[in-house]
Amino acid sequence: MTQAEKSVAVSVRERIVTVLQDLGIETDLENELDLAEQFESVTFINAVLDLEREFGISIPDELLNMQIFASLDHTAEIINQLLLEQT
Amino acid sequence: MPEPLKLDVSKFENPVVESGYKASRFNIRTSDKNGDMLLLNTYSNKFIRVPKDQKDIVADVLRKPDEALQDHQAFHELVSRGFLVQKSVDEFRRAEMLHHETIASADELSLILLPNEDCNFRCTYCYESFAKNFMKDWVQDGVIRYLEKNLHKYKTLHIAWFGGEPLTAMPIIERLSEKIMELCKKHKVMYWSSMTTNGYNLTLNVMKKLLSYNVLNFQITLDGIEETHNCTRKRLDGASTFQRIVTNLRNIRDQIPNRTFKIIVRGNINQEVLKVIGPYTDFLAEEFSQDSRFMTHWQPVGNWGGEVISSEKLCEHTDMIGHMLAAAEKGIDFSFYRRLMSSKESVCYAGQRNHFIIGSDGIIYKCTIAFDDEINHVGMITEKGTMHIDEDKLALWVTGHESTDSGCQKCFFRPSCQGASCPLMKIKHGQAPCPPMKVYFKDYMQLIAASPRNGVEELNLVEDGVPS
Repeated sequence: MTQAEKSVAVSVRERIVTVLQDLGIETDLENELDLAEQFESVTFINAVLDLEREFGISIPDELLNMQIFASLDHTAEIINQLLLEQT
Repeated sequence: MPEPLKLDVSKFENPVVESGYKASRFNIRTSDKNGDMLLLNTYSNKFIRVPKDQKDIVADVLRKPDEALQDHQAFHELVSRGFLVQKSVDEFRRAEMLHHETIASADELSLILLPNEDCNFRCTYCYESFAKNFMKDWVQDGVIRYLEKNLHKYKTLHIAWFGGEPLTAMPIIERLSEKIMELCKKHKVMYWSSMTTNGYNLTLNVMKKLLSYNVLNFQITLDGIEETHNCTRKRLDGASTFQRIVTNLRNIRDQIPNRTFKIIVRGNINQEVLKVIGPYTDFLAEEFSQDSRFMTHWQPVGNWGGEVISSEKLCEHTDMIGHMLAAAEKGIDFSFYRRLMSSKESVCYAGQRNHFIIGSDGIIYKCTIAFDDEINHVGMITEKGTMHIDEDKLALWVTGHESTDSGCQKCFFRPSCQGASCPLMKIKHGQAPCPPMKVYFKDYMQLIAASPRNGVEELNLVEDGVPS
């Protein structure tokens, strides 16, 4: 990964953390714990909606499950992939 | 330094089995058209299909669990899903505890708001009188102030937009939604919303706007094909409505990429619609079966208080259910009913403590069916955001239920409906009615098992049912 790519990747993670923290979900950039433990179904859908709005993406059916929040890394990976598919 | 306290939690997480096992009283079993076993438990919410060549093994374990080999795969599969419970378990108490949690749940506040009690349609069977119209400014202010003062007590807020027709009052929805979302963000309360709409004003732009307001579940009615729908669901001026609604739905299907919303396409089935059920089914299959965001719900038309409907036009579940099974095989998604089978999910909102309807003039109701009934006027909201509630009237709606009905106590459906599927009927007649879902439960099990995206787990035992 180039320095520029690393910078973008960190930025995506920061934005994810901000979205989740605004919803009251505890996390930080270093948190690799299972975020899904903090999610009930309504929390999940709120998080999905806010991430979609934050990044201007639509999360497809096959990814719309709790596993999307298995870890911060995993969430960021999915969002980066969706952003890439849009360009 | 004192030694850290060592807690042994294993006895709570892995209790020693001493008492043997029994089949849960909340099991219900039937077969699908292929002869496979369908097994569901209304407390654990598990629903499995067992291939017909293995169903005898499972049936034997259910019948005589103490005689089953406890290292048998079938035994473990049934225990892990709650179809078998320990003999020492008092399932009556479990159900009672579930009921306490359901009725008095303090996690979610749920409000049904009526932004306009008038409607741009005049459906022939509608029970509403349309005597009132737009939600007064002071009532809107009262709702906002009520939430400002009380939202901090809850984890989740759910708003359901109802009417009349809510989409005739879009400015009110916009104003309230923006303020509500701001308050939820401030208090870190999760927010979601739903809407019952005739769909006539649900254009693409309106849909995008509603999605931005977290409106995620929609119920929209199409009463059969164009000819039948336009007989029952006419615009206020008598004009037809089918084409416009279908165009709106097609636009949403094709041009909104968002996958988080669901649209329940409801059909009110009377004898006229039954005559065209084949073409109606074909239409639904062609338009919506390929998109998982669309589900179908068929409601038999009863006497709901609109124009006098002759009895020969009314419809019963028994008239309908065979056609539903045929429709499921064409790919129509009836998985909407799966939720109603789950624990708590057939408890009417009117029977729950933290669920209210706020009318356009500030009257607080419990039920959306009986707006003119004094028993349903449980309070008023003020401009300052105080809800004045008649606690004795409220108690009529949120107490009693299963605990005062001996028929409910032993019922397999108790975890789902808890004797509270229709508090209005219980208040009026002194006895909780059994909902159609319970009365025709095995039919609905078969229907769900035949539907796509049904959430039924396929249970496959290894070759001889014994793990290697």
